[in-house]
Order: sequence, then structure tokens, then C-alpha cells
Amino acid sequence: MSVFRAGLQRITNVLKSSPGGFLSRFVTNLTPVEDKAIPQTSKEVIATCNKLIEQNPSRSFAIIHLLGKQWRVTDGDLLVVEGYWPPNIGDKITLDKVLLAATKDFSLIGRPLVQPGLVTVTATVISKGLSHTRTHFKKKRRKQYMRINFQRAEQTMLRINSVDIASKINKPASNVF
Amino acid sequence: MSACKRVQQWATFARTWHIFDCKWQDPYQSAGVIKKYLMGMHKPIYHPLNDCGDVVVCINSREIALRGEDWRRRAYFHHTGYPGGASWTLAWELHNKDPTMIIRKAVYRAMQGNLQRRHTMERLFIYPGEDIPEDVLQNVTNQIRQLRLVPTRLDHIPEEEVKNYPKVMDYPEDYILK
Amino acid sequence: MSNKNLFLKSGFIRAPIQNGVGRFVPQLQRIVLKFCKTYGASQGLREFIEQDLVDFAKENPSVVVYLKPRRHRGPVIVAEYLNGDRVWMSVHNKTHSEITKWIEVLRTQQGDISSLRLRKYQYTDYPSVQGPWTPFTFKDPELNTAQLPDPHFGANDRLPITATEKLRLLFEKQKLSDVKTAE
Repeated sequence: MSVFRAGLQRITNVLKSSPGGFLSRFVTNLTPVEDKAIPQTSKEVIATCNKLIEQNPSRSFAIIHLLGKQWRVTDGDLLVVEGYWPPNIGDKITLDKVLLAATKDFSLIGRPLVQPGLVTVTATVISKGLSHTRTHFKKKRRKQYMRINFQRAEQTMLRINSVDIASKINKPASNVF
Repeated sequence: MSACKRVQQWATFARTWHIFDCKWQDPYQSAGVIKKYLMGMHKPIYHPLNDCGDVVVCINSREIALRGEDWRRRAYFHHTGYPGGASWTLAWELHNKDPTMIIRKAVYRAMQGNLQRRHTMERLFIYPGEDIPEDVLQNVTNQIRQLRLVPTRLDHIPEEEVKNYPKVMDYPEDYILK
Repeated sequence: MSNKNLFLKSGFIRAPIQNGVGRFVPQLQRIVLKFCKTYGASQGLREFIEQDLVDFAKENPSVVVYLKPRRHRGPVIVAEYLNGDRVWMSVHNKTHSEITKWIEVLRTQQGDISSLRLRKYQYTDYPSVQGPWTPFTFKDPELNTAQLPDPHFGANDRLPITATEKLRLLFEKQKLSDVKTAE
């Protein structure tokens, strides 16, 4: 392996043959000055992504914001959120705060959220109950101080049903609410 | 699993060797960066119980730069354990004795004092100059970016380039150059 | 070994038989209310039975409700679930509103979930969609053939542009435009 690497390095040295060394500042900061128009690649990229969504429904995942926490979800996931949350069992809900959505080939990053209507994350509430009893035990030695508290948090279990990306990236956002 | 995937997975849990050029770098700020690589905190698979730390090779430790009056004022304390065994060594004295010591101590202090620290430090190689053993160099596959720009001395820039550099204004005729 | 898990089991979240995928099945199967007709401790449960039980049974057709009056014994609720769990709960001296809330908890949970300490709060069959991280992820392929140390890879390239450099760029741009106008 190392012989192979050394050979590669020798080839590149021959190809480059430019001194680095003490002129490091000039090597790194030297940006070529050309007044060239920025290539219009972004449109093509968006078109490609839209086409990918239409023809190739590969598995997609999303990062959603739920009760102050961020979750990476994909189809069929189970989540347990803690704390008071009104939805009851059997409710089908849409998780709207999508921070990021992605498939195998590309990612859509929200700033901070992706536009409403582009990504639909649906979930079903499966179970609502209480967690195990958590014991909060405090004691200070030689100070006649001892406290013991018990608490049980509300737990809601969610099943993620679908993470869908609509093939309309870069379409102006319509107000869905 | 394909051969390519197998190699990738092997490499994920293998140690990577990084090189860091200490020339004109603040050792105390660089220590924070070096520490992350030594402990493996730059990897998404990091976990305190996961032995995923990398190897860091520091070169040019003789040419570190300390801030302000630190060379003259900063003292390194050592105690032999016997009465009257305390000694204070100034940074410049220590650097004269061992040019790798300041960066080594800086990295050591940047890490938490747990049982793992001394083993992690074993993965740090420091060399005072640019000459490092061939068997160390051939393992290196990545370079850690420096924190500060290394200044270039005017007499090290080729004369032609200095001459061709754009001038904001010409000196007045009666200006006396030193 | 610690004996922490002797009394409280720990585990990972799961839902019985893909519950929630396609259809949702309420998991409470049967609920038995045991009470005494005369004891004061059963007062709250008796009030619940008189006022709310018929509505509860109507709203939850999938739940079988049993009433079991028994003389001079404490009031108890027993809930049984589709996964075989059985939750026994004493409602001694509990008021009507407290019992309403507890029965709602028993109805909505999917088993005896309080007896399990969760180690993870998420479960996924697909931990990675875009592939797991490797040391080659987001790495410049030029590094494969570079001879390190190399200032091209080692120098800080995130610093803001210096005034000197800005001036030089301005100058070169001006030179370019001069050439263009000359043409």
C-alpha cells in the first residue's frame, strides 16, 4: 500500500512541480481574477431534483421539530415524546415544522424551515401513557438534609406514516394555513 | 457487502493519522483543535466509551508563537515532592530545554483529567522541526488546518514580485528613504 | 453487575403488530371495575359508574367493561391489553375526577408501559438513508495523492480577505478592464 502511495506521490510531484513552502500565503489566497458570469447551474440542479422525485421514489427522511426537540424521521419510525401534548390516540396529524428533508440523492435544507406544502410528514398517535417512576433523591452528608421526589412524565408514542416530498422545489410557497 | 464498502467500514474504525504544522501557531488555541482529533471528537461516531481517537503528528513545534509577553512571563511549575522542591521555569527557558514541551503541556491541559488522558497523549507525536521519520510520515493521510496565517517575511518574497506589487502612491521626490 | 434492573426492566420502544401502519387498533381489551356498594372508599368509583360508565362503554365499542361488586373490599381497576399485559390499580379513596383521569390513562396506553424504562426514545428500521459516515465522507480526493505536509491543505482558508489582498485584486481587475477597453 505504502509503495503504491509513494508512487502516486511521485507522479503528482512531477505533475505539479510548483514550490509551496514559505510562500504558503500566496498559494492559498491567490484566487484567479476573471470576470466570468456565474454559470446557471442552480436551475438545472432543481430540475434534476424535481425529476428524481417524480420518477424515483427512493426512501426519504426529514428532520422535524417537535416539542422543542429535533427528530430524524422516515417511514415507519416510532417516536416517544415526553410532556403534555394534546393529541389523543388514533389521531392522524401532520408534522409541519420540517427543518430538512432529503432522499438518497439530494437534501433540501430549510432556512430554518422548508417552505410549507413542499414536504408532508404524517403521523399517527398510537399510545399515551405515563413513564416509569423516576426517583429524584438528594442527600447531603452530615447536614440533616434529605429529599426524595417521585415523578412520572406523560409519554406519547407516534408512528410516522409517510415522509413525502412534492416535486415542486423552488415553486413559490403558497399559504397552506 | 462489497469490497469497497468493507474497506470503508474498516477505515471508519481504524486510526487516521493527521499532521499539524505548528509554525506561528498559538499552542494554547491549537491544543483545543488537536485535542478534538486525538479524542476522535471530530467524528460523528464519537462516544466517550468508543475508542475512536486518531493520531496527530505535530511538526515545527520550535516555531510556535506565544501571545504578548508570554515568553517572558509565563511560568511552568514543577514540584519534586521534597521540601523546597518547587521550581518555576519560564516559557522561554522551557522552550530552550525542550522545544516540544510547551505544545505537549498545552494539549495535556486541554483534555479532561481522566484515566484516558495519558493513553490519548501517547497518540500525539511532536517534532521540533520539519524532519520527521519516514515511517511516521507515510502513515499520514490528512492535514489539520492551521488557525492563523503564517506571515511571510519581505526578504523571502522574490524581488520581482515585490517590485511588481501595485503601489498606492509614489513617494514624494524629497522623501528620504532610510 | 448492578441490581438496578431487578425491579425495573429496561428496553426499547415497540408497538404491537405494526400498529398505526395503515390502520390503528386501540389496545385496551377489557376493563374490570371492582367495588363495594357500601364502603366509603368506593364512593368515587360508584359515582363514576353511575354517571360516566355508559358513555365510556358507548364511546369505546372495542372495550369490554365488567363490573364486579364485592362486599367490604377496596375498589380496584384491572385493565387488560391486546399484548397480554394486565394492569392492576387500586383506587382506594380516589375521587370521581381522579378516577376519570386514571381510566383515561388506562384506555390510551398500549400496555403496561410504566413498568419499562426506555433506553431509546426512537426506533427506526433505516438508521441511514444516505449512507453511514466514513473517513472519506466530504474529503477532498486530492488528499489521496498529495504529499503532506502541504500548505495548500494546511493553511487556514477561512480567514477574511486582508486589505492588502483586496487592493491587489482591485488592481488586477482594473488591469483587465484596461486591456478590454484597449481592444
